[in-house]
Order: sequence, then structure tokens, then C-alpha cells
Amino acid sequence: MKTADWKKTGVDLFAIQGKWTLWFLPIVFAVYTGLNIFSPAEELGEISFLTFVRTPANIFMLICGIIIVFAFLTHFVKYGVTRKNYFIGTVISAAGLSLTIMTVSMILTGGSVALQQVIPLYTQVTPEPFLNTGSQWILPALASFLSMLLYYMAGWGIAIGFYRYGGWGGAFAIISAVFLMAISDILWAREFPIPLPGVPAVDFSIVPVPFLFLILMMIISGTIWLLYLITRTTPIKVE
Amino acid sequence: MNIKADRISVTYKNTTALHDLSFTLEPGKTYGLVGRNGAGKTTLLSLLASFRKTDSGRLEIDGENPFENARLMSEIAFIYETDYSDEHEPVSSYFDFTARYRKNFDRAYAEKLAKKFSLGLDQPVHKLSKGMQSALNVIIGLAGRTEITIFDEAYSGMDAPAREIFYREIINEKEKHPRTMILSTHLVSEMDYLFDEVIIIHKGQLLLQKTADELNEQGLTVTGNIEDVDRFTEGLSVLGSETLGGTKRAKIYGSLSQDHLEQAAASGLEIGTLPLQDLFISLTEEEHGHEDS
Repeated sequence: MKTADWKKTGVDLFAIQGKWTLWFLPIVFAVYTGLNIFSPAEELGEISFLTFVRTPANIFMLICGIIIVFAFLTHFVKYGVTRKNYFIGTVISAAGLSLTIMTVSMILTGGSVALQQVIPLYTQVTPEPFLNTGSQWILPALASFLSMLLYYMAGWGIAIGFYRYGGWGGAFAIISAVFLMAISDILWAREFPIPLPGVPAVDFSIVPVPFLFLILMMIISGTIWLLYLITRTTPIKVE
Repeated sequence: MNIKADRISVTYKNTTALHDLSFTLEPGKTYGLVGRNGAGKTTLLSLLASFRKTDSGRLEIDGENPFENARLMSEIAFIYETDYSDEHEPVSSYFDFTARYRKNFDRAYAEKLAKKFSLGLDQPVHKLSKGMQSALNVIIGLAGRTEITIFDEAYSGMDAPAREIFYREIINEKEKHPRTMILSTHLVSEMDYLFDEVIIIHKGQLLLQKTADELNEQGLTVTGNIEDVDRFTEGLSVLGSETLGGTKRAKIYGSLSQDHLEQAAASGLEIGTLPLQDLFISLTEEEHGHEDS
């Protein structure tokens, strides 16, 4: 066997988080189905699973990003994995996880759309066109993928902030993470969800959709690079 | 793998954990790292294991800086008391993980050791007693067979019979699979026979690095009549002494010349070896070198 490397670490971290996802997705789907059956709100019946899963998936990824530092960074370094390889492995596992959640969500959405012909569980669900682009599958899925990745990195940022710099560093990391997540949400909503006092309303709808993707990809890349710089010299706690 | 530290220092905020520490460790030897609480032992071992960087000075293992060095890190195991309270995986999955990341891991040996320590492979780790968790740690260290294996008080939770098994295995491993082992401990009197060389650090500084033979020659006791002992120890480095009635036992540190040995024989003084534990206590007492305690 050769030296522990990022591939091995990536596979192991994906397997660990994959087990959590096996719990997460069926629970969210069960809630979605339950709401479709029992909720009196008619508009719920019009939301596809792909849309419904977006927020819970983002929160799930945020939590995964936090846990992956506190529960496993020390453990892997203790077994001879460098911080660099651990970090690369983590990013790969996060991408894999986002891709898996997105793919399974698309399959479940397709399944529920098909099922509505047979069983009236999901009354009118049809994937919504994404930001008036006409794309019902590819662009929403890609947007979810990027959002999940960004939330994961926000979670990693919070955790590494506390792990490396303690209380104040952690508090600063939380503020930065909230800011980061807000940027993502604002870009997708294409407006400020809550108008800020004194700040003129900004209409992002003039920004072309490809440009939105580009901005988000740049933000994610920059965040990953910054987190790598912080992680690569982090002292490991003997605990 | 040769380990060379040249004036290394580590500071935590306003506290100096290590200050200008220099030493060399040769491959294949078992080192005893001894020091009082807060002496800097764990900080030093953290540097060797690439858990942290030095603030100043130069640390080299096999001629390279160990920090973030994939080749070196895969060959260095740092075993310490680990908090397993949230770990629900069974013992066997720890062996699986070690096998995946330690290329020389001997699973058959690990399972044999588990049997010796009465450690069930299917038991969830968080349900193990503290002693059994320590046994798991030392099994991973012993069976991992990394070129540098560091045990930092990893055995303090184990009971005396389990520690005895561990000591015997250290000796067996030294014979069958020679490698550098560093044993940091408070249980000096129990473990001194395992050490080829001893390093004592105090307040972040190197106090002593000697082979076991050198310590046997240089850490001595002189017992006899009070006046004779006082006369004999004049000009020698006296670490401390005890008196009982007219008899005095002085602890001295340093080699004795042939003249001294002859003088001791003529005065009827008894020369003995100072146990490492006593030497350690004497050297690290806040005020040592004074008479009577």
C-alpha cells in the first residue's frame, strides 16, 4: 500500500458522510411526501422535491462541513495524513456529496412527477423553470450543487475558525459564513430578500444567469483557497 | 530515521513551552522522555508528529522537516490518551482504519494483542473502560510498526498487569522489529529498564540526555557515617541527602574518579546506583543541590 493520500482520504470521507446522507434524504423525502398528503396549503403541492430539498440540503451540508473538522481532522492527521491531503480529500468528498444529493433529488423528483399520473400524492408537481431560463433540470441542479458546496465551505470555515483561533476567531468565522451564505441566497433570489434600511433596492435580475454562476464559482474557489491557507498550518489538538 | 533538533522553541501566547531545545535521536533506540507536568513533553512530541510547527529553530527527521511531510508523517505514530466518548465504532473498525493508513500494520499481531488485553473486537469503543481504551491505543501503536512510534502517557489508564504486558511487548518489538520508540512517562521507576537512553526536560529546556549506562555510572548514592559522607562529597555535585541517626545517604551526580572510589572503600562508604526516578525528582525539584530534605 502506498502513502496515505488525498484520493484515499476523499473516498473515506465520502463514505462517512454518505452514510449520514442515507439518513438525511429519505427523511426529507418522507417529510415532503407527508406535507403533500396532509398539508392544507395548496402551494406546497406545486413545489417539486428538487426545489423543496434545496434549503434542508444546504443546512445538511453546513453541518457536515462543521463536523468534518471537529470529528475527523485530528483523527486523520494522527494516522499520518497531511492537512493538505485531508483538505483536498474533504473538498472532493463535499463535491461528491453535493453531486449525490442533487442526482438522488432529481431521481426522486422525476419519480414523484411520474407517480402523480398514477397516485395523486404529488398533485401538481412539476420542476419550476429556473430564473426564467426555461431550464427545469440542469440549471436548478447545478445551482443546488454550487449552493451546497458553498454551505459546506461555510461550515468548514466556522469549524476551523473555532478549532484554530478559539472563541473570537470562531465568532468572526460565523459572521463571515453568514455573509457568504447570504451572498449566495441573494444571488439566487436576485434581490435582497429583506430590504435593508438606507440601502437602495438592488435588482439583480439584470445580471445574466451565466454570470451568476461565474460569480458563485469564483466565490467558492476563493473560499476554498482561503480555507486551505488557514488549514495547512493549523496546529492539531492532542485530544 | 535520525531525529535532529537544533535550538527549537515553541511559545503559546505568553508561555514558553519549549526553549532552545537541541538533541539528536538515533534510529532503532528506545528513548525515555521524562519531565514534570507542564515541562513541555507533549509539545515536543507534537512537533515530532507534525501536529504543530516550531516557532524557531530547526527540526529534521531523516534530513527533512516533518511538518506536512507526507512521507515522514506516514512513518510516525503519535499515541496518546484519546477521548473516545463519542466513538461508536467497534474495535475492529479501528484496526481496519489503521491497516488502510499504516502500511506495515500487522493485523494478526494486533488481534493477538487484543486477546492478551481481553479486548473484544466487536465492542463499541465508547463502551470500553479507560484501561481498555488505553489498551486499544497501545495496540495501534505497537502493531502499526511505524519507524518512529511515540507513546505519550498512553498507558496511564491501564492497570498494573496490563502495563506489564505492554512493557513485555515493547521489549519483544525491539528485538523483532527494531525502530525508534519514544516513551513519555511519569511511571519512571516502572519503566526505566526499557530505556536505551533518557531525556529529561524541565521548564521547556533540556536538562539531560544520557544513555542508561551513563546514568548508572553518574547517578550515584553514597551511604555511611555523616562526617565521612560530608568529607567524601565535598566538591561533588550533591543533589540531596537523607540522614537517619548517624547515617547519611547522599545523592550525587557525576563520575567518580579512581581516587574517590579508593577513598570510599577506605572510609567504609557504600556506593550505590541512584534510581532514575530519584535522579529525576532531584534534578527537577525547584531547589536542588541543598543538603537534607
